Amino acid sequence: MNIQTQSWLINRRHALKALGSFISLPMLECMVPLRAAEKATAAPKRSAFIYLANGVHSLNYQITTEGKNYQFSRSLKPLEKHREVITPISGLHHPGALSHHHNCISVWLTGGKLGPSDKNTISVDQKMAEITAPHTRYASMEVAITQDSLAWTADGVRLPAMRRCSEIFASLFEEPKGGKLVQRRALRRKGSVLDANLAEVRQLEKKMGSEDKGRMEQYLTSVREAEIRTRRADAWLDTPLPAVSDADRKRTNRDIAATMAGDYFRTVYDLMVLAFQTDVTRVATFSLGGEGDAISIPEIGITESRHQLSHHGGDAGYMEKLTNYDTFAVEQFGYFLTRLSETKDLSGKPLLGSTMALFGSGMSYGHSHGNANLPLVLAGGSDLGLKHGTHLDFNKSAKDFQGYTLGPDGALTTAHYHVCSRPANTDAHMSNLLLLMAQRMGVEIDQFGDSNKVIAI
Amino acid sequence: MHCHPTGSARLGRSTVGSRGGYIFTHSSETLLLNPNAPQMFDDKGNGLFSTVLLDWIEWEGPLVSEAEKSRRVGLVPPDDATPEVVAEHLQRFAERAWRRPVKTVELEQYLQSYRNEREAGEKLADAYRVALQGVMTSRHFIYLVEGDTVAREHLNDAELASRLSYFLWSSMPDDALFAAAKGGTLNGVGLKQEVDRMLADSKTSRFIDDFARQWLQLHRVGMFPPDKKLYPAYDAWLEESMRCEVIEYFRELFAKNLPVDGFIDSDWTMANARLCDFYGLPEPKAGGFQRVSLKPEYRRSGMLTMGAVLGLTSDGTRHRPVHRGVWLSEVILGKTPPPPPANVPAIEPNPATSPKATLRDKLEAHRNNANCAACHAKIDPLGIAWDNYDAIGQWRTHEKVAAGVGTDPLVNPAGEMPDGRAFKDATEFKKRLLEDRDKLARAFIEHLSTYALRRALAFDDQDDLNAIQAEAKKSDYRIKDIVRAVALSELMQKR
Repeated sequence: MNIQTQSWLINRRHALKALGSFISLPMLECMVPLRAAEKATAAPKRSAFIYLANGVHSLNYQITTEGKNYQFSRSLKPLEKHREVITPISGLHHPGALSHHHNCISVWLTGGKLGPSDKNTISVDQKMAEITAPHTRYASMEVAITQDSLAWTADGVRLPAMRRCSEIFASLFEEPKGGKLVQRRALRRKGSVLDANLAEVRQLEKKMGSEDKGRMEQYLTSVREAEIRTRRADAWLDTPLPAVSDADRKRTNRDIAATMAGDYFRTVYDLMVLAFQTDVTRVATFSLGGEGDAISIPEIGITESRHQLSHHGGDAGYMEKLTNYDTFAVEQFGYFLTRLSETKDLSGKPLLGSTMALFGSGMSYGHSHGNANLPLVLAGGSDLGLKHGTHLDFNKSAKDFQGYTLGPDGALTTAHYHVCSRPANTDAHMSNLLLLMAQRMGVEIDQFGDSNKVIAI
Repeated sequence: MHCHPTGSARLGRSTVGSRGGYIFTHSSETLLLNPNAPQMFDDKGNGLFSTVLLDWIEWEGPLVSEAEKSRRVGLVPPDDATPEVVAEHLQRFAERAWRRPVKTVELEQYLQSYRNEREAGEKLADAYRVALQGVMTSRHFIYLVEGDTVAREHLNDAELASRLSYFLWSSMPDDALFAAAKGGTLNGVGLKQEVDRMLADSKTSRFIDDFARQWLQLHRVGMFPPDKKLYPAYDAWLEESMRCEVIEYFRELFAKNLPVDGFIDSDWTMANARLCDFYGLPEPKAGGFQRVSLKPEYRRSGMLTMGAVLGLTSDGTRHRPVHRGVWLSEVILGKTPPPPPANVPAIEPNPATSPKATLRDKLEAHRNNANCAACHAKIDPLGIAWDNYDAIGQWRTHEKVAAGVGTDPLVNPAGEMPDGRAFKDATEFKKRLLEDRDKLARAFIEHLSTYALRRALAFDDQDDLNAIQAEAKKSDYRIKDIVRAVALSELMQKR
């Protein structure tokens, strides 16, 4: 490392000492020298989150049998070959999302509250990124084919999403512009500017009344995060970018029209696999599309947006298309699992063992905005201690649950919609699952969002 | 005119929509087009319609005017400047950036960055750039900082100038406003003169755009794109035209200083050819947005029967009476209804064997739960009044219902206001609203004040709000006069 780079770090430390009184703890963590942190690294742990908007056609999605020998439902059938590495989960919900319609996407990974005076809280992927970021070139990747990302900062600010595959590729693997020296100089200047901003605040803090400290905290967090990013980017300049094979590059570094839904979904999954494989990042979120505008799938005859299909009004054609959409999305998730199991990470082990992948929605019964009994599938992560192979059903364990309402033909009746709208088990919070995932990633917390206990899988 | 759609001369697909922002550029890109959009080409790539294809565009720029150049004088020091001269330049720059007088000592950190860069061998211009960056990442640039380390009740002149300027212009104060603040004349007659000067400036168009968007929740227009089978008339062009109609209408009310009644009722609107076609009005004479007159048989008057408002409160498939009621309550009456309780039972779709029922019928059946009924009895009528307008705002007498047997049911838009006054349809509902114009004006004043102060209003503000209302009432609740009353109010000068 060159001496000039270090000089602004030293300045910054002085500034920090003086600022200690109102900078929260994570700052201290960022002071751990990068290389030192790297040495202590255990085997990498990874997480991916995939969001399907507007719920599912729950009558065709719900698995009604429990335990080891559960029967796959029609929509989940494509995952049957992955039975040993997945756990379908029923009966969870976010209390904060109930009756909040499509806003459920905003709290899917946060377990936060929604309301005029509520601020969203940190999403679990970002909580994970706090501890994985020191080891990877980029803290996390956020992809959304339409509308917003799933990731939120501790300040309740939503992170921007990337959409185009070539843009995602460039963000992960493109050489820095102008070469290393130019980059380093630019980063050093940026660091110096941020130092000056912090020093200015330090002068002010002495005179400042407590009422202004809320905004000040927000400003400081932004400056602090910019500093961390600057410093990490500087350190990573000396590490060459990972090699990406021509075949991988050709497959993923291109733009795909939104009309080619399958290709689009699979290519984003490929990019996530590539990112994990090369250890560029260990945390990824992927929204297949927002609640208002998830794309249609012309290749299987669906020209309506997913939101339109979800408000099927009982129309048999729409319900069939919605089921086909669900099945299609599940199948592409199966593709992701296959790729993870076939691809080895830098230490030569299959990615699936070190990667937890959560697929699901913040809604269950879209037609009437039912936000209970969320459709969720947790997969992978056996190296992190997850044991799969059963259907985990929190409806069944609820005291007053009368069993699934099956008609004479063995299919679920519309009474099932009620299970999807009011939680059968009010203690079964989805945050309990997010807490489990955070803990398995190595995040040292015993509470996340509105969790009330940790789920055992 | 400030909105883009100008009528017949443009290609339908050339709008830069709020979603995606895709611009149709060349026939070789047909692959990228949405399959649901009207087909423009046959399978050999030949155009199906007579359209203008833009194949080449050229532009020149940036064109920097002399006036623009003069704004930069004195901000960048010459290459041979002494440290003192550099500091003077940075101070001038900071006073603009932070919108207030700045003491050199406040810039010490940024001057130190400059010196560090110079010592490291950087050129003056490059080192100075680092100091400029610092000034612009400072909290004083990013935030509107009000108040001091010692508590005080009122804003100082520089703070008031910024507050006024971001309220009415969405930007920093200009030289004259800075001068008034510096010269201590931003009070009494001086303040009135400045506010009148600001209200007459074309920069108020930013207030029109920005306030209307936030107040009327226009970000929701097109959030749930309408079902293309149910609403084939809807496209990006119409959507943009609808959004513009509301803003242009508000601009006209403001420019002509018309009374608040104009929000609810009028015999004119602002429309382009696309909207006239959609509403069934005669084709307008000129291109672009223009004032067109309305007759009762067109079934449009005021903002509440505009496509944008009726559409933004729908979900793309169906009209949503409850959403419409909540919107009306928040925007027009200034009351936010409480959020729904968590355990709302599901509404099952209409069984295919039962008679077709309107959404209103289903809502009423749903309301036998006493917990729900208390709030919904107040919210729903405010939305049901607009049941004659579908999810994209088209007039109808029957509601199209997908599932069920029999004919589509007749719409029933009759109901009662929360205080019991009855109305039989949207037209009567508007009359009921206008009978209580104090309430309309009050809600508007509160929305304006929230926007101007950039904070939620509190109980402590009631006296100041009453004073604004009394002042506005003197001029018959004319819209520009209301904005003026807010700008000149005691509330505006308080921290």
